[in-house]
Amino acid sequence: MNTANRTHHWIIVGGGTAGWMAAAAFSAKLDASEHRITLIESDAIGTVGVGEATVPHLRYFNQVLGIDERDFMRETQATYKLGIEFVDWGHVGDRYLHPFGVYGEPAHQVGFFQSWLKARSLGDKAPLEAYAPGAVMARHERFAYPGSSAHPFSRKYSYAFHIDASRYARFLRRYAEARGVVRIEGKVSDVQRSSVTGDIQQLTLDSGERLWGDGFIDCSGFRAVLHGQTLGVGFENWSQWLPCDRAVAIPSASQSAPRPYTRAIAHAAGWRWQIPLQHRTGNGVVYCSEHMSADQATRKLLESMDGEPLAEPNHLQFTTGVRSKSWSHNSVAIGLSAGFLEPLESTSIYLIQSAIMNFLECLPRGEENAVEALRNEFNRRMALEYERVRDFLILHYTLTTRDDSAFWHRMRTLERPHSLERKIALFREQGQVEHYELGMFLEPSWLAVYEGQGLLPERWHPAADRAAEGALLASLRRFREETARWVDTLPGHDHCLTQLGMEADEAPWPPAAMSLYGVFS
Amino acid sequence: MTAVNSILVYGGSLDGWMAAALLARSLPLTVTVLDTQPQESGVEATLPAITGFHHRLGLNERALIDNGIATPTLATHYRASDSWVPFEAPGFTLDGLPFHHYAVYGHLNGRLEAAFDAFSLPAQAARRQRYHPQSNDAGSLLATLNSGLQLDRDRYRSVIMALAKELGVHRRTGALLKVERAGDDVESLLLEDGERLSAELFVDADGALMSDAQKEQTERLASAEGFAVERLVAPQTEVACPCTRVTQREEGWELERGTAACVERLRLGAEDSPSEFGRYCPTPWMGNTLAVGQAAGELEAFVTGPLHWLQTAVVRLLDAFPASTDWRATRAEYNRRTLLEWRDRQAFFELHLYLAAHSQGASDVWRQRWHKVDNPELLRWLTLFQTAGLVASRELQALPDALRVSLLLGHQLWPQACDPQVSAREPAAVAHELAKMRQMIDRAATQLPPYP
Ligand SMILES: Cc1cc2nc3c(=O)[nH]c(=O)nc-3n(C[C@H](O)[C@H](O)[C@H](O)COP(=O)(O)OP(=O)(O)OC[C@H]3O[C@@H](n4cnc5c(N)ncnc54)[C@H](O)[C@@H]3O)c2cc1C
Repeated sequence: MNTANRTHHWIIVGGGTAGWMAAAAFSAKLDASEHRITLIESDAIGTVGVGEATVPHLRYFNQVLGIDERDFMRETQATYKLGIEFVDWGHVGDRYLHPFGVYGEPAHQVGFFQSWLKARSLGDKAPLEAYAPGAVMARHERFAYPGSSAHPFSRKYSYAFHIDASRYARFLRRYAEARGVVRIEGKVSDVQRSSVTGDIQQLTLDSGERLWGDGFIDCSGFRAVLHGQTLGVGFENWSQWLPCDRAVAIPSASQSAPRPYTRAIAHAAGWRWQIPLQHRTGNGVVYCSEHMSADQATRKLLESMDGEPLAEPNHLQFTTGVRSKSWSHNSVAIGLSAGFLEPLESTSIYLIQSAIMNFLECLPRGEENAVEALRNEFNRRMALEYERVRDFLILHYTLTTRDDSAFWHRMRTLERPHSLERKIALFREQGQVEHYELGMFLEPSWLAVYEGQGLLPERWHPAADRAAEGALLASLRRFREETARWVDTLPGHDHCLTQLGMEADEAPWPPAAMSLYGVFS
Repeated sequence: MTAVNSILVYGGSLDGWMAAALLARSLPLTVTVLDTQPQESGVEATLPAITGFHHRLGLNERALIDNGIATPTLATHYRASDSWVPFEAPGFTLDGLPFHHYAVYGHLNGRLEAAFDAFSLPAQAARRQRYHPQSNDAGSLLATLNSGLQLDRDRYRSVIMALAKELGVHRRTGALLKVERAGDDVESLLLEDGERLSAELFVDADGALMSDAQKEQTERLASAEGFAVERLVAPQTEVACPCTRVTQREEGWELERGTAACVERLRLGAEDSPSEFGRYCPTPWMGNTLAVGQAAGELEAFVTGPLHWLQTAVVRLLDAFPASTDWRATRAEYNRRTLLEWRDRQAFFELHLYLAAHSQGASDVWRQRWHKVDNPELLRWLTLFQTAGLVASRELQALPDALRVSLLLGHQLWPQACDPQVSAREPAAVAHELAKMRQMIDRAATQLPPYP
C-alpha cells in the first residue's frame, strides 16, 4: 500500500455487516483529509442476512464510534443478551447457561471454582450457574445495567444484544455516509492487479465503471471476491473438527416476551438457534449435510418454531475454516471472506470487530519493510483469534456423551487438535483452565462449558481445604440465596425494553470494554 | 494416587526460605526446609510485584523500609544514555492510543524537546532523589509511583526465615550425604547423621537434587556465552539512591544496587571459561522434584534480580498446586509456562545486547555479540517497533513491554513511523499536549519529599 503524502483511497467491497462496520469505523477514526473511503455493494447479490446474536464487545465498538446505545437499540430492534443457553449438548435433557460474567468469589487465593468443587464433594450439587448473577438474571428474565447498583453482584456480569443485523448495517451506513463514505451500487466484475507487485489496483463494475484504489477491504462474504477469487489466498479447512456445513434460517413472529439470552439447542445432526428480537424471533438450524438433508432440516426448523414463519426458508452453505492470511498484498479480508466459524458462540461479528480494530492499529505506514511488519503482525493476531475461538467451539462437541446418532458418535470420538487436548487433560486433572490472556474466551467461559457438559475433575486445589467444611457450605449457600434475592429486586427484561422509547428514563448506559465478562469484573 | 501432604524444600538460601514461607502460608501442608545454612550477603533487586508477595505473606513492608532492610526503587538508571527506566509506561493514554506514539510523533517532527523519561513521574523522582509511596487513588499522579525494592539479602533472609517458622515451616539442619532415587523420583534424602528425609514433593532451591536427566537437558543460552558474574559487596558510603544503576563498559555491564547499609556491584563481564550465567533447565519439574529460583536458571535481568523469578515460580506452582501425585498434566503446564517465562527473560537480556551494540561508539565486541543473537521472535518485535512504532501483541509478559519501549526510546532508538491516527494531528497541537504533560510531571516531581 502506497503511503506517500496524498489522499489514500480505501475501497471496501461488500455492504453486509462487515462492510458497513468497517466503513463506519474507518470514517470515524481516519482523517478525511488523508483517507477517502468508497464502499461497493451489490443489491443483486445481497447479504447473508442472518447473524443476530452478539457479544459484549460490540458495545465497545459502538462506544468508540460514539453511538448512543439507546438509539442503536431502537434502530436495530434490539433486546438485551446476558448469555447463551445450551440445551441437550452434554446429553439429551441437560441445559446450562454460558453467561457474560463471572462466578462466585475467590477464596484462599484460588478461584471460586475450586471451592465449588470441594462443596460438591461434600454434597452440595447446585450448578455453577447458580453463582453467576448474570446467569440467574437470565433465567429469571430480568435485566439491569451492570454497575447500576452498589451491590457487588452488580459488577459481576456484562451484556450484549440480539439485533436485526440488516438494520444495524443500515444504521451504520447512515453513520458512515454522514462522515463522507461514498457508496456505489454495483457488482465487481473484474479486478486488475499490478504485474510487478501483484497488488490490486483497479476494480471494474458491471456497469463498466472503473475504480482505482490504494488499499482494499474484502467484505464480500463467502464469495471472497478479492482474497479468494483474485489473490487466491489459501483456505485452511477446519471441517474435520467442525463438520456442520449448512444452515437454514426462518424468522418467526414472537409468541411471548423476548428472553434476555440466546438459545442453542442440539439435535441429531447439529443444533438450532433461537434469537429473540423486539419484533420477531430469529430461528435457524445448523446441520451437517452428511447426516441430514435440507428438507429434514427445514422440517425440523418449522416443527420447533412456536410463532408464524415470517419468510421463506433461507438456505446457507459454508465450510468452516480460515484464510491462511487475512491481509495479503494490499487487501484485507474482514468478515465471512476471512473465515467462517459456526455461530454457536456468536463470534462472527466479534471477529469482524477484532479485525477492524486490529487493522486500525496496524494501518500501513512508513517504508515497505514497515508495511511488511504490520501485515505480519495483523495476520498473526487474527490467526490466534480464530484458532482460540475454534478450540472453544470444538469443546462443545467433543465433551458430549451423546451417542444417539451417527453425527454425535463422530463428534464424541473425533481426534482433537493438540492445543485443545492439552487444555482438556489439564482441566481433567484438577480443574485448571489453561492460562492465556489473548482471545475472547477466558477462564469463566471454559468453566461454563466444562461444567455445563458434565466434565468435572476428581480433585481440587488443596487451598480449598483450608476452609472449614461447614463454613464453606454455608458461604456458598448464602451466595446463592443472596443472588436469587438480589435478582428478584431487578426489573423484568420486557419492562426494560418498553422503557427504551421513553425519554424520561434515560439512565446512562455503563461503559463498555473489550471483555466478555464486563467492565467491572 | 498419593495425596500430597508434605513438601521438602532443599536449601536454606533466601530462595529456599521464601519458597517455604509462601507455600506454608497458602497450603494446609507440612513444609520442611533442609537448611544448608549458606552465607549470603549483598543486595537483591525486585520488581513492584514484590509488594503483592509481601501482602500474600502477611509481611509488613513498611517496617522493612523503616528498618533499612528494604529501599524502594523507582527506576533503573542506564548511565550510558542517562535514561531512567521506570517500571511502568511513561505518559498517559490519549484518545485510546498509547502514549509512546505521541512521543515518537513529537520526535519525528523535531518537537519533543525532552527525553522520554521526562514523561514519567517515578523516573523524574528518581532522577532528583525524591520519593513518595505509591498512592492508591487511581486518578492521582502519585499512583504512577510504582516501585520495586532493593533488599539487604542477609537481613531480609532472617525476616523471611522467622516468618516461615511462624507459619509452621519446620527447619532441619544437616548435610546431605546422598539423594536416593527411584526413576525420575527422589525417594529420600540421606543425611550424614543417618536420617532419611522424604516428602511427596521436593522443591530444590539449591540445585543439588537435579537428576542426571535434568542436568543433561540443561541448556545454555548461546547469546550469554562469554559472560560471567562477579559480585562485589561493600558498605554503603553515600545516601542510597532509589534506583538501580546500569553502566555499560567496553565488554560488559556493571549493575549497582544499594540499601542504607550496603552496596552491591555486579560485574557482568567477559569470561573465557564457562560460567553458570545463561544456564537453564527446560524441565525444572521432573518426577517429584521441582527446581526453583537460581537452581532452575540463571540470567541477570538488569531491572530485577533472581528473587523475583523464585517468587513467580512459587506462585505458578501455587496457582495449580496438585492435591495428588497424579500430576502429569499439571506438571507439564508448569514447565510450559516456565519455559515461556524464560524465553521472555532471554529476550530481555538480548535486548540489552541490542542496546549495547547500537549505543554510540559501541565496540566491535558488542556488535558481534548482537550479531550472534538468534531470536526470531525478538527480531520480529524489534522490526515492528522500529519501523512502524507498533508494539506487537504478546501475552504472559514476564517483563512488560513498557520496559522494552522505555529502554529503546531512552537509548534514542526511535521508530521511523508512528500510528497514523496520531500523525494525522497538527504537530503543534501534539507538541503543546506533550509540553503540558511534561510540565505537570516536572512540577509534581519537584514537590515530592527528598529521599530518604
Ligand atoms: C447460519 C449463520 C448464522 C449466523 N449467526 C450469527 C450470529 O448469531 N452472530 C454473529 O455474530 N454472526 C453470525 N453469523 C455470521 C454473520 O452473518 C456474518 O459474520 C455477517 O453477516 C457478516 O457477513 P459479511 O458482511 O462478511 O458478508 P455478507 O453479509 O455476505 O455480505 C457480503 C457483501 O458483499 C457484497 N458482494 C459480494 N460479491 C460482490 C461483488 N462481486 N461485487 C459487489 N459486491 C459484492 C454483497 O452484496 C454483500 O453486500 C452467522 C452466519 C451464518 C451463515
